[in-house]
Amino acid sequence: MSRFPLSPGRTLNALPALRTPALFLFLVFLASCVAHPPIGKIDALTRASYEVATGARAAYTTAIELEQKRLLAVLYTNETPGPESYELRPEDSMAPRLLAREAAIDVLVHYTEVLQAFAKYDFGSEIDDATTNLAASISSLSKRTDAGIDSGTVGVLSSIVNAAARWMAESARTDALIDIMSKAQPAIEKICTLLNDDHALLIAENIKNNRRLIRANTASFVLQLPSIADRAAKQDDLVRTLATAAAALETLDIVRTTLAQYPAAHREILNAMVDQPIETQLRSLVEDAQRIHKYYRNIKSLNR
Amino acid sequence: MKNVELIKTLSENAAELEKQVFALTGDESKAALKELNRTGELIDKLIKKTLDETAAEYTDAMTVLQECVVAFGEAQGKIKKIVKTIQKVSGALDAIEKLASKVA
Repeated sequence: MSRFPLSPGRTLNALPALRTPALFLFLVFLASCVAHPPIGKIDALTRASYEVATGARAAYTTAIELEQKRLLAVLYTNETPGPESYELRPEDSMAPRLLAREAAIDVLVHYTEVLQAFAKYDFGSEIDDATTNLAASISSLSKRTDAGIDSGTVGVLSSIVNAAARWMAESARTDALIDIMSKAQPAIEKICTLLNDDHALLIAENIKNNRRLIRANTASFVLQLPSIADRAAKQDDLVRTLATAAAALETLDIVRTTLAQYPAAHREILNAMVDQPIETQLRSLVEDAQRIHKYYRNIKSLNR
Repeated sequence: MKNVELIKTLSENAAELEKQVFALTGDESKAALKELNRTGELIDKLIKKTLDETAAEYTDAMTVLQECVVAFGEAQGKIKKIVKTIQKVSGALDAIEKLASKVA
């Protein structure tokens, strides 16, 4: 009989006795104490940012095309001292102004993509791999040194490390998300408000102004064309241009609606992590219980 | 916002002038078109001037979001340290095992 009634091997081998619902409940409780990021809402926010980017780019492209067409239409009618060239100087064009807005949208999209990637990053599987290796190392060392640690004990030990590491990772993730998203919230509100003001008051007015000038000047110009075929072609072109302008205005309106909801959606994700509803916590509790139990059984069978 | 109000007023005038271009004929229509083009040119310049003035307002907010992107990367690195710590413990145990096998 050992002089040490609680030798390392015996103490560790007493652990499987703790392999009771109480132990698992503790591990599960530890893991579920952390609020999980609402992935569905984060995915929706990312999709919304892509929709804003796609819609705004399409409207901006049309605005630049309309500007060029307006230039030509005014030049053709020659009713005012027009530009000297068919090409606008960059400083006189809408293009650099719209590029500045596009850059702001790109930053918004990039932020959302990184937020999504961070919220969805699978730290869990990396922790599983690391703790599985740890279990193998413990088991191997135990066999080598005759420490007498059985597979059940290895399973319990690595399950504890696994649950604790996951708890640390998840709580660090949630803390970081709350902290970073809180800092980002005012900036997001500012960018969305600025973009919406620019879209509704300036860029939409720019499109309407160019549409008006194209329509009035082309109508005057068309009547001067001697060929009926040329008139018809010009009229067709005008109809298409006006339809494109109308579509750009509609797109800007959709972008405006999305941008108006964007800051609230971002805040909702933040609030969801601060005050997670009890149903979500219970769901996490069940999922974590199943996961830890599965992990334990897996480790135990691997180290037999 | 004065520019915006001015743009709106000019825009209303332009809409009225456009109606005249189509409603009138001959020289009167041409005169209305000339006036419309001038008003349109003024609206265009005013819009661009206002867009230039508001462009700077984006800068601070964009900087904050870029900092947040960097912060996410740093937070990810910190969390990965947990995994690395477990890997180090595992590696240390493997080293001990090798040592034990040599001793044996």
